[in-house]
Amino acid sequence: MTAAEFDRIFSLRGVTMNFGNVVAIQDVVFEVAPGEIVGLVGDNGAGKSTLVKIMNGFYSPSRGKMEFRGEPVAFASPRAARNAGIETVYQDLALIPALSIWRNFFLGRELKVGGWPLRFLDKKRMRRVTMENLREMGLTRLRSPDEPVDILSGGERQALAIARARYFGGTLLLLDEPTSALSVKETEKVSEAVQIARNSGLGVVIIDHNIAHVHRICDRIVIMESGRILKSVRREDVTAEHVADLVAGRHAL
Amino acid sequence: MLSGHENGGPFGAEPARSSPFAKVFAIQELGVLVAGLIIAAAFAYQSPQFFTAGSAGSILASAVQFGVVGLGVTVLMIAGEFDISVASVYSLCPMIMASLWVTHGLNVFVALALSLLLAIAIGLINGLATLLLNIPSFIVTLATALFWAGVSLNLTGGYPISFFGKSAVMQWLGAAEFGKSHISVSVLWLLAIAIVLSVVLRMTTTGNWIFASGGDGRAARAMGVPVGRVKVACFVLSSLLAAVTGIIQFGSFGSATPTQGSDLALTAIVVAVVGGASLLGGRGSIIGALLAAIVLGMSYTGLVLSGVSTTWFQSFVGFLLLFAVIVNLRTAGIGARLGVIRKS
Repeated sequence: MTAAEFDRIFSLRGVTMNFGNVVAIQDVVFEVAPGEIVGLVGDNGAGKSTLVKIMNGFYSPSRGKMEFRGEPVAFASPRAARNAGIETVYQDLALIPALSIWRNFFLGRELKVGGWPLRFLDKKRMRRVTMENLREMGLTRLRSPDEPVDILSGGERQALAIARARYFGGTLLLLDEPTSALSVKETEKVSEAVQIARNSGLGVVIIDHNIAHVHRICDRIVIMESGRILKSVRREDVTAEHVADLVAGRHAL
Repeated sequence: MLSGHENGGPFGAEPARSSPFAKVFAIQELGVLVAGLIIAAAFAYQSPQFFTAGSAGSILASAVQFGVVGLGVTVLMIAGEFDISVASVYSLCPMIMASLWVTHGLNVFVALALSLLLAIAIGLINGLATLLLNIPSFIVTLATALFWAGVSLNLTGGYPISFFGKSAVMQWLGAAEFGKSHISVSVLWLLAIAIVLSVVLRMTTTGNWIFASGGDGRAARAMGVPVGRVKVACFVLSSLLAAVTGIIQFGSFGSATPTQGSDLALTAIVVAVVGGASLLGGRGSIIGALLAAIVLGMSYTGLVLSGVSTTWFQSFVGFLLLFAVIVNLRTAGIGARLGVIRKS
């Protein structure tokens, strides 16, 4: 369980994904370490989403090897990946607006008390755990876990989804465009939540079009182009402008 | 929007505490409560007999008829689906029971069990057709409603089946009354069903999944909720409770009629919506639906006592529906502005 048992949470070697005759990604080598935030950037159609969907079990790769926590893996479904500890925060977040915050936090993994047939929701504990976890994520404005999710702002919903993934023992967190359609202030809050998740030992992969944002929070940036990895750079070795040039196809780095 | 994000910033200052008075607006069932109070006051003013044991019995008998089926439809609507076939199940299942028992001399318990099994099968067909064929449940259950109504009519060529003896089963189903009052024991069925459903919805995982499946099926599935199974179970419940309602009517009046309750499908939706259910799923209240059934019962009895023809009942229900929905929407808006939080 400890980070010391493996130095890579997820690694892909020579992974290729074909959809019929279309090669979505080709010979991709990709790694995430525990406590590392990796930014995945590239133009539309570069293969970022396909790569993430291979990691979360949505697609099985046509060729190549994958290792999760040091062991070879092939996920049969997103559910299998999730049970293994890979949590995906989708663009639509998989939150239910009419349900309360705590009911969303524990949806599908409810805490219960008592034995059958009197097995009831442990509301008290779920309310408390939800509040604790959201406060740790910086959501200090919340008054009650009984409020419906539809009163939360976009950034708060992201933070809720991230807090949920972290609480349920994820070892790898995948975020697909978490800050598209968010204000600057909201984006800050999501960055904070991502960093808190990283500091508790999770590996994080973020797809984001906002290169300035990626450069600010990621430890490493992987640039994709036409289904291949163009470059993997450490944050401190490049400026945001360099990354933007690479994404735009100006390769003279 | 509902909250103060715009001025306070997304993670800004604490909003003001809500006053005890404001908490009134957190009551989800406020619309039906207000409607009920107004209607009770109006009929009490109109007719001195309104607050007597006799009319209580009549109000509750109607409440059972609208309520039991309405509670099932409420749960199904929370899960995001409709059931138009409840009216046909309501007439068909007691017909089957009466036919097997009274006409063909089968054991009463076997007849009862078989008719309930049929209701379960109809619910399964409704649910599986909706989910596997991906057809809106409104259409699927409209089709099955028509089909089973035809079966019901052809069973006896349109004639009712009556029972003239004395039977403990019929007594328990609704023929018996409490002591010297005119209140049928069937009220116990309504209360027991309401309590069980309310507990399941608010306090169990199953309930959580029902709300989630209706609130956003795709998101619920992504979180591992077996949305298909949850919805099929709700279709079965709705069908089963429609049959139970019909069988209670058979017990109470001793006769099963193939044409009875033809407008019950819409009345059941009215019960759910007046009680606070959303047509879009994900919202609704068992207590609200129970109150709505009682309000409908009061209206029916009140109209009779005031000397107005019961043929005006439907018009009255239409009025009530709009009124309760308006109040429900308004109070939710006011509650949100005052910052009251409803326990979930």
